[in-house]
Parts: sequence; C-alpha cells; structure tokens
Amino acid sequence: MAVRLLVVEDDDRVRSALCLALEEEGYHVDEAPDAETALDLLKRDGAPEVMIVDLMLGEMDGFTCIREVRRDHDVPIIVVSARDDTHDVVAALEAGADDYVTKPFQIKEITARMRALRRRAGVAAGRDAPQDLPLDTNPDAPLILSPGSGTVRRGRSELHLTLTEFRLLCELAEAPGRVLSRSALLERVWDRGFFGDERIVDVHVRRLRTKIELDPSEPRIVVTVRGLGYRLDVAR
Amino acid sequence: MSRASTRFGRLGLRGRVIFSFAVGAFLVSLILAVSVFTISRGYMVGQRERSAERQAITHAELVRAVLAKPGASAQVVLGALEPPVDTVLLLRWGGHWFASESDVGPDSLPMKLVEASVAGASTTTPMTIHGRPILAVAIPLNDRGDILYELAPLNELEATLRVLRIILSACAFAATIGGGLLGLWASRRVLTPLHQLAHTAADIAGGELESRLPDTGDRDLVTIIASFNTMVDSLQRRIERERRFFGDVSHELRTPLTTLITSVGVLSRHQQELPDRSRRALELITAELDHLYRLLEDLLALARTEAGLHQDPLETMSVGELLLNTLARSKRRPDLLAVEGDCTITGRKSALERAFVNLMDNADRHGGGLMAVAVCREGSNAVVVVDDGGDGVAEADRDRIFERFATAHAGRRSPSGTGTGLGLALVAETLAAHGGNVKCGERPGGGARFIVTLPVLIPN
Repeated sequence: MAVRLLVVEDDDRVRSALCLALEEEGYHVDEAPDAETALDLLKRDGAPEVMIVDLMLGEMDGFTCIREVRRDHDVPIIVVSARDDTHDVVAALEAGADDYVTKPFQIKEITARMRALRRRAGVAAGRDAPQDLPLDTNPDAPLILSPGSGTVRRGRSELHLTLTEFRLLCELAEAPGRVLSRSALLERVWDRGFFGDERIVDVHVRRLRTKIELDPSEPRIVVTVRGLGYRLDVAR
Repeated sequence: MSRASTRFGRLGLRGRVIFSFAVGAFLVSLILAVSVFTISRGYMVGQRERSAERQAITHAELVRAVLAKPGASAQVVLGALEPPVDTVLLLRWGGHWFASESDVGPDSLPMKLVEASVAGASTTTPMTIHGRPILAVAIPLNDRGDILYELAPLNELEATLRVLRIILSACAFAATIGGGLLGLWASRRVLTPLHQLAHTAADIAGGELESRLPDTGDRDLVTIIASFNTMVDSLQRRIERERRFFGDVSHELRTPLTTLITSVGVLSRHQQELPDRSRRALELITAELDHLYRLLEDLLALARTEAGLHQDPLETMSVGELLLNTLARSKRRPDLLAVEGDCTITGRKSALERAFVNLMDNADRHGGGLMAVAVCREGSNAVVVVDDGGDGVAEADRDRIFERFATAHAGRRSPSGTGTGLGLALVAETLAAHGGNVKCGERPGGGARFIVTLPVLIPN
C-alpha cells in the first residue's frame, strides 16, 4: 500500500509538478489548493502519513493551517517556502511543522526529509526491549516514557506529542545525563548533519518542554547545556 | 604643549573629567588650607606674644618694686616670682646676671636682643634655646641698664600649629580624593547617555532593528536622541524594504523554477523512453536549468550578503570541522584537508560553506582540480589555504577575478559546466561580512593558491 501524502500548495503549476514527481516516486498523493480544502480533506479522510505545506496560501496562511492540523493530528509536516525570510521558517516550526525545505528543490530532497520523519520512533529508542522509562519521579504526577507503545504519560493522562517530538525525547532518553549536541540531534532525528538548521532542534525542544515540563520556563527534564547542546535529566 | 595635550587626550573622556575634578578640588583645598593656616598662625602667635608681654611687664613691675627696697636680693626676688611652668626669668641687675633656671644664662640670649634692650626699649623676639622654641621678652627696669628677660616657651603653640597643619593637609588630601570621586560619578552620569547610544548602536548593528534610544526628557539630549532614532527609523525602513524586495524576488523567481526543476526531474526519470533528439534537448534543458538555478542562488546570496540580510544565525564552530563537512557535503575526498591547531570562529555556517564550496568548485573548474585544503592558526586569525593544480592566475588578474562576472567581461558567455561568474565575488563578500578576507596567490610549484583569513574567536 502506497504511502499517503497531502500536498497543500496554492500555485497550480508547482502543485501539479510536485504531485507528478511524488507519484513518480511511488507515493499516493492528495492535493489541496488552499488550507480550507486541506482541513476538509483531513476531516473526511483522516490524517495522511506526511503533509507538505506551502507557507504562502490564500485566505488562511500556512502557519494557521499547520496550527489547525496540530490540534488533532501528530502527522509529520514538511514546510516548503520560496521566501528567503528566516522568520517564516522559525514561525512555521513554532506553529508545529517538523522540518522545512526551500524552493526550488530536487524531489529527492523532499523524499529524504519524509523518510527521516517517518522512521519508527520505537526503533530509535528502545532497541531490542523497549522498557518504560520514568522521566520525572514526582509522586503526584510521574512522567513515564513508553518507547514500545509510543506514548508519554504524565500521571494518568497521556501527553500528545508529535512523532518528531516523541523521537527527539527518545533520543535524549537514550542516555540520560549525557549532553547531545544540536548537530548530533539533527543527525539522529532529522537525518540532517552539520549544515542543518539548528533552530529546528531549538524550536522542537521548546515545543517538547511546553508539553512535558511542569514549568516550561524552568525546565528540569530537558536541560540546555550552554554552548554544547541538550541533556535529559530524570527529575526528582 | 601639543604632546602634553595628546597625552591628556589619551586619558579618555572619563579620565579627563576625573582628572579635572581632582585637580580643581586639590587647588581649592590647597588655597583654603594655606590661608587658614597663615591666618590662624598669625592670630595665635600674636596672642601668645601679647600674653607673654603682659606677664613680663607684671614681673618687671614686681622686680622693680622689690629691688627698690634696700637689702633686697635679686636671686630671692627671682625665686619668689613663680613664673609659669617652663618660663625662665633672666635678670641683669647692677651688672650681674641672675637666672631662675641654672642651665640658662646670658650666653643663651641672641646679641640682637641684648643690644636692643640695653638701648632702653622693650623687645619681643622668637628664638630657640637648646633646640626649644622660645619667645623672649626683654623689659628694661630702669635707665641703669638693668633688664628683666622673660623666656616663655612656645612648644605648645608649635604643637598646636603642627596638629593644625596635619589636619589641613589631611583635609586637602581628602578633598582631592573626593573631587576625583565626584569626577568619577559626574563622568559616569555624563557618559551614561553615550554608553546607551553605543549599546543601542551595537544592538542595531547586530540585527536588533527594533532597538531605540529611550526618551529621557533631558533637554540637552533631546536633539541627539531624536536624530539618532530618526536615523535608525529610516535605516530600518530601508532594510525592511530590501528584505521584502529580496523575499519577493526570490519567491517570484523560485516558484517557476520549482515547477521547472520538478517537472524536468520527472522527464529525466523517463529519459530512456525518449527519442534520441528529445533526450539531447532534455539534457540541454537540464544543464541550463541547473545553471539558472545556481545563478539565481548566487545572485540572491550576493545581494543579501551586501545588504547585510542573513539567512542563518551566528554560531560558534571549528574551521576544521566546517571544512571537513564542506568536503563531505560536496562529495570530495576528506584526505584533501590538513588541519593544524585549533581555530574556533563565530560565523554563519551555510554562508561559509557556500564560500568554501565556491573556492573548491573554482579550483575544479578553472584550476585543473582541487589539490589541497589546509587550515592553520596564525596569531588571531584562522588561515585557510585552497590549492589547485592549474596554471595559476596571472598577477594582473588576481584582484579582478573577485569582481562579479569577471569572465564575462570578455564579451562571451562562459563555456558550459563553468560557474556563474559570481562565485568568487560571493566568496569575497561573505568573508568581508565575517571580518575576514580572501586573496589569490601562487602555489609553490605552480597553480593558484587562495588564502582565506578569518578572525578567530577570542574567549572572554
């Protein structure tokens, strides 16, 4: 069964070419010319396996579209942008995008990004015998990471992490107490290396913190190590 | 004079203010201390003289009265007078000398005093006996040359004056220090707006275009604050306009290019199914599209670098690591690189990557192939050397090759497979934006050598 994608792009020619090229690569591609159509499609058919979203759309822009999708879905979202403006990229990541590609691109760049984002999370973390990992031993609301079932629970309730946030957390949980540099995380989670945009990591860590930390302004689980990277501590 | 004023100028504004305040305070307190001391000294000495004279006159009257009686002994009279402590009485009576203390005699008196008093006038003179300050008062008792000398001690007065001198010096010293401190405080206050201006200017230069000087309501600063903020406003408007323009240009050009590249990619997958002539046409399109793409990217990058609009943030990185990753990303052999010493810089990774890739591409395209890349530390600079195995660059052309479209000036388009004509210009612009530079030289043994200099990060 072919992997199902949703391409949201307002420029007809770009959208057609993109769909053509992705279908050539063996994907099943749904297309939407604007954010409203995309959200309707999502409501009707459920989430695809990856979404590709242009930032310049019609009425509703790409950022709003991503935020709307993120309300209910943890589907990986790749942003494509033709603008140089770097604020756009960060804003899109803040809104909930997982990665971005700037136009013009070779189609293999998009497929490489998709492959990286669709890698199984459990494989990255638990290896052979994924075990539940306590990340916060607070007796009132313990935080438990279950790489096997792909869930994170705070107390009784399950937290809604996106696939990428979950994989990021798993990578950090691989070696609690050890510092992982931004480029190492880029390599492991996004398949990007030295020249990848490290802001992708920073924004994802920020998003992750708002979900798992009790006080995101004073993180105790995912800790920044100035000049080096990030470290996961088991909070007590 | 001029040398002195330059030296003064070297102190800096704050130093000059502190120095001026300290010198001013020192001069004022010196004048004050000297006048206070002179006036008090005159007053106290005068008072001491008058009291000594009064004392001497009283004693002289007593002596005169007692000795007028027959049979009176001068020594007994002296003993009965009971002068104040440390005061010595010396009496010359009938040609004989009598003293109330045994260690004082007529030899102790200065000649001048003796002569003056013999002449019949009462005299007061300060003098020293056995190293002690003394006020000598001579009172003639009659016209037979009999005289009473009263030697009053001045050491108490001297001690008082000494204490006064110490206190005044201490005050002058304290006032000087105080003046200096006041100068420090005043200079800080005066310099605060200047510091603020410098900070804000640095913030703006660092990209925080929203920074403005706050309105302090200070009448003296209103003009400078207003004109500074107006200048930044217009700068910000210009930068925003340029940013928008580059955004629009890149959007408008990249969007159709995306369609083209993606569609040609689809065609290329089916290359083998195409007739021979169509395939050759597709190859031409692909090559030209690639050239157009690189041209657009180089043009945009060059324009952005010139306008100071950056795509990626400043990061701290090792030059060796950067070059190793650049070689890997551009699919070149990592053993081309030789790293010597540790060179850490702050810069924008992808901009620097693009610059070094351009240098390496240039070596491959025009220089007969990249031979070696080496990085080493020279003083406060990281020096990267990129060598090629070509014929080298003629000395006359070594500056010109960094101009944009340098090869195109000959009036023909560069042959296929060559660069955009912007690569080296972008290298120069990127390095200039990083505070470094690039030069073209000659590799020992022939070939061109590009030498890149970048300032290393000095840890503070």
